[in-house]
Amino acid sequence: MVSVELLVQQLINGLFFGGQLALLAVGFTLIWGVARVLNFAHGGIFMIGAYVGAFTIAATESWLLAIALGMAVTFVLGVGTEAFLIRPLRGRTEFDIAAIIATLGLWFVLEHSMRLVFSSRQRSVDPITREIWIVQDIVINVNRMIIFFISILAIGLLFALIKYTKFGLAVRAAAEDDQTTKLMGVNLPRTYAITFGISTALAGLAGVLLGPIFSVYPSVGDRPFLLAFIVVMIGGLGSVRGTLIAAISLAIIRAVALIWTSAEGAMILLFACMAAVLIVSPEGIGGWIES
Amino acid sequence: MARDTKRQPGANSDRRNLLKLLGVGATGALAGCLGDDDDGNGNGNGNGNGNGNGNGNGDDEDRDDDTLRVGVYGPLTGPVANIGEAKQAGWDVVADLVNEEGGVDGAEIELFYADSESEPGRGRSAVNRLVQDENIDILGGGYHSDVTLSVIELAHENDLPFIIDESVSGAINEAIIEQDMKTVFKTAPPSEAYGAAWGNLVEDFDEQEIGYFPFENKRIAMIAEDTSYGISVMDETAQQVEDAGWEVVSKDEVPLDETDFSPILSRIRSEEPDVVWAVQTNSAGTGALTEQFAEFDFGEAHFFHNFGLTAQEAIDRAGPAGDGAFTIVHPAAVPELLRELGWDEAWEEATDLSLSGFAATSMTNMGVIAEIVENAGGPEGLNDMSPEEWEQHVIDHEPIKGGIGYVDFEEDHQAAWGTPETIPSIGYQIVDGELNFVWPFELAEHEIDESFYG
Repeated sequence: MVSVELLVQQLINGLFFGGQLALLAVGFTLIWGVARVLNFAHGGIFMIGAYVGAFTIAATESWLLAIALGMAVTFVLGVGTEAFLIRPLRGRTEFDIAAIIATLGLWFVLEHSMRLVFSSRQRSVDPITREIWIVQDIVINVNRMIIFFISILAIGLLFALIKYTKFGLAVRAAAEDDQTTKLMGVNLPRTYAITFGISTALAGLAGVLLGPIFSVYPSVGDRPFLLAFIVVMIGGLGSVRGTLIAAISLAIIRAVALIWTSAEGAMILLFACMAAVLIVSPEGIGGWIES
Repeated sequence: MARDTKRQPGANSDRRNLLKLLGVGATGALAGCLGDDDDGNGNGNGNGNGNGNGNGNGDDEDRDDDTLRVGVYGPLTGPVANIGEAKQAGWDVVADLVNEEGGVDGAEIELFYADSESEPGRGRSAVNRLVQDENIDILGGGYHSDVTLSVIELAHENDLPFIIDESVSGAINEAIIEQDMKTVFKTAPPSEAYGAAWGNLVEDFDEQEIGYFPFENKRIAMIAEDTSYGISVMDETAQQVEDAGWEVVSKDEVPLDETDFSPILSRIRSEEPDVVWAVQTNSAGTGALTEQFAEFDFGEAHFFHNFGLTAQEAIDRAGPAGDGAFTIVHPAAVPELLRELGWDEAWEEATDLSLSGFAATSMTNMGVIAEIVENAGGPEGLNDMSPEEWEQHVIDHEPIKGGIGYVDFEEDHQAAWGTPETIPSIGYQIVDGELNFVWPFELAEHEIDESFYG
């Protein structure tokens, strides 16, 4: 018989991990939804954020500054990527494919450049806090809880930006019909560039926050990107809401499944869930929500 | 070595659109991956099939008879690149020492590196480049067993002398025997040696009532990275502790770079184990697991870790949570032998890295290759040997002192292990972020600090 404490513990574990996944995945899906770019450099930008955060914390011990700098640097990187790498490719017949190859290239350049400069050494970063709460035999890692709430706050702000601001209206319009949006006088290149910057700033924020958990090294973004990619596939490409639901759901399913099965069994269950979702709703959870 | 090594042939939201895009993405990734390893390794580069020195390589005009061309592969980049960096420094330091002392039978050692990136396909491809393009005389190195399993086949196909330094899996031993790989020898003790070591440690702790030992129920939970190395070591250790009367309450396999163990540890904690045991090689993952074990407050349970916790980066990542954990590794640095060989001083002069077991193993690998080739008559003598002569030469060779013990290859091509006169397993306790050599008790340099188990 499974104890209530263990069940609650796994729900909390899943919730916290889901928040981390969502933060990375939402940025990835956002840029596809608006600019039709699958940014394969997203994991590399996560890594850049992690390095900026690690160095800032080492120098100043200020998490606020680390978050601000991490997001600023990756925002600029994102805007630059759109302006100098993606924009010249627009108008080509196979723009989608060219954009994937270009961002893949950027990923390799970022990862190998960091390796050249900083070697492959795995750097440890002290967490925001090492405090642990134990409530009714349930363990709560305060650092992970803070990361979860910052992630939810960031995603909430993104929702608010898209829903309630003039820029958000332009973003939604561009996602719906870019040509008509252009005819309405919206500066599409600027909208794309800022959206790209917001997307990469979210990846940068994830890098800063998760550095203490993942450690910091040039290939640190590979696995988080893979997980985010899976989450986005389930959530529905371009659907921010679907991605958020998918991230939290998958993380909770994995955690709860681990009560009864091994890590391998939980992964099998996870992939079975993915297959089931995609069979029932080929456009993922986002498609199901919209329908 | 006389062998036939003719150059081988070089080697939008619409779902359909998405699949096409993903296909292109995967192709792009593959193209990117291939880009590194195949550099300069294609067909039609005009090098031909010359065989001037019996090695059948078109680069013979670059060949210098006064050099011993040693190929070395390891995880120089990728998830355990930190370890690859230490290993590379190890080979460099001893090669430099040998060269300063006159080389191998007068021939200078020249090292050629291949980066496995911890992936079998990449490792094989990178080593193939050394064989085809660099005309190496002998191969050393190793780390991940999966990679080594692919590389030994390549060495066997090319009759290339190969002394593996650090890959452990018993599957390698099986392949060497079953496929009669005359040119391949293995230094690191096999998986069963880890099992035997943990079985002995648990019995010693029981007898000496170390920490929370002895336990009434003897329950152990096990976690392994999902590699050949991890799974084989876990299975061997499970067998040994079960023979010693322990109950294995769970076995989990996790990805190499996993860092979130909280759901697994939550479940394991509910199973009330006396020992949580893990085997990992990735420092970030090892540090994260160690830290999370401490967070989940397992009460009077010990944390045992195989191998990964001997890396300083893993200890740093674990932070104060690592204190009191036990770890076993082999091959491991034996300080006394390193001092006797003068390798510790040379290391300190050459690098700021800590002289880990990984580095000591690579230093030993280089030293063993140099001595065995020296006694074979240098590179020329080596190249004149048939695979059968090489095999007998290595087996008949006297034990060679290295930084990890004495290397003495046996009939099964495995170096002898498990005693101070061979390659011993070394147990450490983490104390204030340092590795204290505490087991086997007869060799230990520190007493176990019991203050962590109040």
